[in-house]
Amino acid sequence: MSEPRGTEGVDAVPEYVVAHVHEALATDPRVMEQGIEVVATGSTVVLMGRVFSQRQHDAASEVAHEQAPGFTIRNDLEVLDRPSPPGPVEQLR
Amino acid sequence: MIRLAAVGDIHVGEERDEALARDLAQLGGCADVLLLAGDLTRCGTRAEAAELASILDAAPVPVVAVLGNHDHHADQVDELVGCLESAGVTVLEGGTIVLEVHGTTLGIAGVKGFGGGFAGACASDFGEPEMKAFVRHTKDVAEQLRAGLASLDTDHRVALLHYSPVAATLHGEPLEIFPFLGSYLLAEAIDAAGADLVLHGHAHRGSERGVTPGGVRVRNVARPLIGRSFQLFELDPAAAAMP
Repeated sequence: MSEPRGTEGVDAVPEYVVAHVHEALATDPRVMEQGIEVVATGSTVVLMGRVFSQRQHDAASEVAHEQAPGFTIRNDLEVLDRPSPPGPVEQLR
Repeated sequence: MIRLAAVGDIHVGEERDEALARDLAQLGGCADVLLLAGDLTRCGTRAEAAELASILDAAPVPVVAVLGNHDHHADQVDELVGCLESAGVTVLEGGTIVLEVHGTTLGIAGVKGFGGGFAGACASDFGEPEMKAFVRHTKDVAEQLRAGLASLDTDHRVALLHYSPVAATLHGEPLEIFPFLGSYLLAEAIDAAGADLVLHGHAHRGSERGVTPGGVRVRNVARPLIGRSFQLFELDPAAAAMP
């Protein structure tokens, strides 16, 4: 689990906040996804990309909030948790 | 006619991935073999390996896999591989396998691969020991891949990787992290030995299609990118493997 951060000093600088959230999402066992895009706009941190379960989706918000307690977290992650019909076959000629 | 199902980055955790389990259990009607392009687990623990094995054990076709960086995180690779092998999965790391499908032979050479970047903007085997070790690991696995492909005397040859051999299938990822997503050394090895198709994952936000400088098709089958449980490919029996 990642160490929570504060709301002042470097912990409030958006560039560092994005880096800390991204690192925590990649390494915290609750999420462990390197492919999540993290963007800070004003006082909001936005999470984008795809994860594999609702639990992982919700944990991403928790982890981001711990790393950016002074920011609002907007979780726009898509969850890939539904069976999918086979797609088209690519024929390699 | 051989039909391949391929997916990377399935990131199986300890909890059941019902969608993935259901889709893979129904593979028999649409594919002859399932190829897994690494990052099979979230962090490579024994518990995740057991969950993954239970899903793959139910797959009705042969399963061939390489590991990814996530599968190494818990430092339990031997246990992970043992668990997969007991479920009937072939795990390649520098090795090859030949499958006979509908009277034709399919050779698969698999390595995890590694990073370093692409021609003109890549890491060099120079300087600190850490940097040299990084680049030399990529050189080593690239050579294993070349030797594996070259050893295959089959109707079709497929290179199965986790990291990408080309930049084209990374587009969509931040340019700054390309050196952590693949290496041109892998493409050079593939072009030296020849192949019909390269499959990889790792780049969740990349692009699906690319080609090596030597003309071999490259497909990024990362599950978050393709948005489904697998991608299907059909190999033309009339097409001989490139020399």
